[in-house]
Amino acid sequence: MPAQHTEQVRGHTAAPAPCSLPKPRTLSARTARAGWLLRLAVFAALSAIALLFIMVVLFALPLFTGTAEGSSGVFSWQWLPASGQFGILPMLCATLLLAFSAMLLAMPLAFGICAHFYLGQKGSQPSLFTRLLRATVNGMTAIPTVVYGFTALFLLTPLVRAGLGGTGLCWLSAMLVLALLALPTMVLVMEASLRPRMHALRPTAPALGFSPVQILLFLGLPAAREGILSAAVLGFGRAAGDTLLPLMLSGNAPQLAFDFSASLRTLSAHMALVTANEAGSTAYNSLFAAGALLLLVNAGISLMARALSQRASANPLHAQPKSNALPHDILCCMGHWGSTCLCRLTCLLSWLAPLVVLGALGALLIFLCLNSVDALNWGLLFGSTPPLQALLGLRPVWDGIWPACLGTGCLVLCSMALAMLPGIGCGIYLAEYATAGQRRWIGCAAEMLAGTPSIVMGLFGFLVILFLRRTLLPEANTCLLLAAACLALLVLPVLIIATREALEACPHSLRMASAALGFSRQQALRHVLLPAASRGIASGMVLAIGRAAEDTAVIMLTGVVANAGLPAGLLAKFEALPFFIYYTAAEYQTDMELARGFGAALLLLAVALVLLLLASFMRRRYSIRR
Amino acid sequence: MKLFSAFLLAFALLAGSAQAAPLDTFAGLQGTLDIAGGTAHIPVMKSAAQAIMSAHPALRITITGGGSGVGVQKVGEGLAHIGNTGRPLKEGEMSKYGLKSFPFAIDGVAIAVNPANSVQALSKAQLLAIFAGDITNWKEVGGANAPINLYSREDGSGTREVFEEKALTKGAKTSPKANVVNSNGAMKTAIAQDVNAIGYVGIGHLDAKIKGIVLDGMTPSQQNAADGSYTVTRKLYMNTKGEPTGLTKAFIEYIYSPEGTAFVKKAGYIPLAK
Repeated sequence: MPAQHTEQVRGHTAAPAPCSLPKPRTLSARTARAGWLLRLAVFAALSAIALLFIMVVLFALPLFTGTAEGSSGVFSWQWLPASGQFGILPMLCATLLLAFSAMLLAMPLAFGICAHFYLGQKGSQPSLFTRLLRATVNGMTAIPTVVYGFTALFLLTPLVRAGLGGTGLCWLSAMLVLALLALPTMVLVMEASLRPRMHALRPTAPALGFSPVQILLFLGLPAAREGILSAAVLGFGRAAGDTLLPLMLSGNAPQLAFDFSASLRTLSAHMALVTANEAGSTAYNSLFAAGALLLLVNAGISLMARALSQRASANPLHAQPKSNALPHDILCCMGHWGSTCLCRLTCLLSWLAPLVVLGALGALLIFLCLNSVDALNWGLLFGSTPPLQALLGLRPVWDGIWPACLGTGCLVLCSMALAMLPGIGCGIYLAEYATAGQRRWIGCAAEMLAGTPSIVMGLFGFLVILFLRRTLLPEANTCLLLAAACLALLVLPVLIIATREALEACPHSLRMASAALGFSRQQALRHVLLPAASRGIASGMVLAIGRAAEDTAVIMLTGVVANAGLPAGLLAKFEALPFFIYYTAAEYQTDMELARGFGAALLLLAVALVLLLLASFMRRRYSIRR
Repeated sequence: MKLFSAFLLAFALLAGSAQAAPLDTFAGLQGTLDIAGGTAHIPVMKSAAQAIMSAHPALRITITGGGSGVGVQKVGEGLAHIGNTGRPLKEGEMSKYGLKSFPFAIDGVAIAVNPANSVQALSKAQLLAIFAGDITNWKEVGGANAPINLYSREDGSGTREVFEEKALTKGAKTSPKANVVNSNGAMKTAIAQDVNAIGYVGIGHLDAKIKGIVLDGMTPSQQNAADGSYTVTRKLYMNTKGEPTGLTKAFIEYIYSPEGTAFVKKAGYIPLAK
């Protein structure tokens, strides 16, 4: 989901550069081909998105309309397949409940961290702690969900069990970790919306005698409320779309409960669980209904976030805020004492929230390191096989994660190869060629795709295979290529949005200069703009790689297996690192196997963080050049 | 671990010197064998695959879990060559897909609690009431004053079906309040961590971390399951679509060979002859 907040960031900071250059009348052969290629890319991306929605809805439709046998039960409150009751409404409620509570918890934390960025610094330079906090929040976007889930299962659930009684696998555990998962997105969106407002207020507000915390609370916050709301909406979407954390931590009882220690089953976890049923049975088909419901919920959220961000950008910085009277009213209502309390509370929160988040992450990291220390050796990678022979592929590796690492590597390579052309092409088209209407529609499609939960992508891949087997290719099977294609769809919006942003961020003077030198638009794009934007695009690619490497829910339904040896081709099944971690959490028999799981989690975390560092380094270099 | 590497070494030596007899059937075979389904089968399948692939590196055997339902579905749809189930196939499944079953082991399903739990034995009536959600505190069955945390398996699990049919009664239902885990291993992890837990696993998974409950005077152990004095048992099946050929056939025969039955025993099950 980094795509979504980067999109938000763009919406609040950089207004799209106006493209007023005239279209060249004649096109050379080369430029004509480029146009064709771009259109093809856009077509490929859009048709993939359309296919996703059509397939999922089509398979679910018989269940919704009640034409299939016994399907009238999908919209009911009992899930007892043995007695013919297939209600998935408890799961829908659990999804909404869990996501909403996680968002409510993350909201004050996110606000506290944002407040710290403004209130925590004394001089003009941010303190070491603030810089650490900023780096941590950025780093959090890269933490794989499976690492959160795996660590929380062994660290958090015993604590929750001790504190709350019950099993520890409950609403509270899942909510706490989901809040942590949604937090960085919310902080980044909130801050992107607050920053220009706070900046605009800087000379005047202090001169009027406002203290920093008053500026933030009574002037900055009301002005940035669309941004705050869209942070909440995106956080909700992030929590609602996640599969692995509820599956591992919330207990999965299909019941309606409103108790923090109660076990809940979300739609996404339900999808992962019911695939074990007899194919074709109503219990199994409820998978499609759950997928479609989840897709609709998240599409609605994407549309809401989009509407909010458009309202925010339609409301320019220096225009008179509609909420001008608001701070005054609030102050009057609360009186002096109330507002002082509120300010104190904000100050407290601005220290408490960062400490809580840093503490939680620190505990997670230390726990991960302590537990994996036994497994951190060559045996983790290669098991009992000599490393050299394993590397050369002479002997198979057992009890090591080398095949899973290679599998993830191949998966990432394939998915990037598939996503690169449509993603970057679509981004270029959006930034340079699209009319206002196209811009709106393609942008909207990309955002809907960015908001689609990854388990739904996996379901889509699975449906494609089922469809192919019944029609054209009876031999089709879930495999590396299928998983890579679904992952490509998952990272497509990241690429589209990064490319578009990078091109739109190119200074207008570049376009003017190339036009003045007689470049055609295609020539300007090819020789001037694309090289200038290359680092931005590359950093988008690195983020996409990180996203593809960490995802578990997609590959769970599209061909990953627990044991396959080295990857053997595009049409073979494969092992992957995140799935290995998930599988170890469920299946470990010995402490050594568990330590290996921790080792794998640490490795995946390190890979994800290195990729993120690379991306931010590229972006920084790029902005310096700019 | 040590035992295991010794094991591997033994195989490497065998493969290098004079090809062990049962593995000979794989000579000249090529291609991939996909195995999916029951999670109880995985240890056996994995050991066999390791032995075979170490001797014949050109072969590829992939193994994945998912549960009995996945096993039937994958092999039926042709997505896997062997689909494992921890329960006999249903009439509908057999006729719909034309599946053929190969029972190769007997496994008992044991009621399991945390070792710290003082309860040693339960009657069938107590167990029924516990899983129906009527008895909710351990003191009602002679344990400490603590709530009972129910753990169950997902719908479609073979272990769950055998448990509900034989340990409870046919048609008995598990309370929807029960936590749901989706493998034998996950059940074991959950019970080992939770003092107040009750759940059920294959007898092969019982060890120091979880404790088997004596049910109506029947102690869950492999001997008792083998001689029939423990009745909550099931067979483990490999299923193929139609008559197996080639690599699939060789693999199934290998599971029935002396080496295969050794793996079955090592995993804690009782081997069955073909």
